[in-house]
Amino acid sequence: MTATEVADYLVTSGVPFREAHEITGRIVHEAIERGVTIAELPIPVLRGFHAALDERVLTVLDPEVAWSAAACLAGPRPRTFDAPSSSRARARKKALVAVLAGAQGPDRLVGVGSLPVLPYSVRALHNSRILVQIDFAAKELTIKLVYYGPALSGKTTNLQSLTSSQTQRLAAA
Amino acid sequence: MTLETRDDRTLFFDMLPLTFKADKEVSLRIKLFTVPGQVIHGSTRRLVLQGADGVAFIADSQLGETDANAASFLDLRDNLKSNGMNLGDMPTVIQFNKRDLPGVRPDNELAELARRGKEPVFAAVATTGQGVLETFVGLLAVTYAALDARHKLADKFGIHGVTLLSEVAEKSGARRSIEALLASSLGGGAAGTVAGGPP
Repeated sequence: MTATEVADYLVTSGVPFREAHEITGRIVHEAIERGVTIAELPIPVLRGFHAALDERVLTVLDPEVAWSAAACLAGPRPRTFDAPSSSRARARKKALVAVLAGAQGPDRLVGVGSLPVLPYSVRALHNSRILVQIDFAAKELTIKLVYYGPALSGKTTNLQSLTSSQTQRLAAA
Repeated sequence: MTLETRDDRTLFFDMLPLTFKADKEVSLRIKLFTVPGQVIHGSTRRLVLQGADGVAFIADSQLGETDANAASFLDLRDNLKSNGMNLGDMPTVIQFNKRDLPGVRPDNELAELARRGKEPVFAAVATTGQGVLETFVGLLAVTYAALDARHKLADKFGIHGVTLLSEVAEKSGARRSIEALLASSLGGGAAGTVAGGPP
């Protein structure tokens, strides 16, 4: 699972986190459509999503490289987690932290020396009391909704259906 | 964004970000998450639940899945509790999915469940999209009503609940009015939840 690495890569290339998030989403879709992993997508295809996605992106698409890169930044460090069993599991765990933190943390990029600090806020994961996110200055309201239920009851299908009805609306417009 | 899945099962969770502009001034970002249903992923479910403003409980309508539904609902309650939240305070809607399959709980029983509980109940066939938007809008309505009551959003933001919900519904592909969508809950229980509507 390397979607987060792509998002991180874009952010370090100067793309706003919000945009990087969207671009990554489209790349994941493309990979799913083709039935391949993101690392298996040809470079020209990746570049189609964003000009910054050239050959250098391959260095971040390897979970092992990605993990050690994260350890250098002020992101989640390996010791934050209980002994991950494989690089795959670590990459997944990192993706989880990134998306959750991205969902709750500020879309802010702070630089330390030449290394950008990614907008990870592990502390946000421990703060269970954060409810609705309201940014009064920007007049922005963020609502988090969770689809819960037993295995294979159709939670993901619900989300996919919502996505496709939005797509159809856009196509019709 | 759907993370890697296998056998149609969600390994971690899915996340769908949606952004809406209401009144050209206020923007609303909705982040939709799913949890992995398998029993062993309890810690992931707790993590995803943190900071949730509202929950849609997707139940499998097949009679054979009754126990799994009940176990998952108790799991939801327990995970909220360990996150310091109370199921009774969490804006919630229930969806009975897979209405097209044989051997499902009959409609009148669902209506009875809807009458007994306080949560709006929706019937759905998610594979065809039936009831999906209704559930989403219903969830957003109960969540928004709770947030508005707690944070006085109407005063601080000048957002009109009905306007906002209508905007979201329309942009999500709804062909019916917000009132019609909400009234489609079993027993029409969600119809009274629109914040800021006339009494």
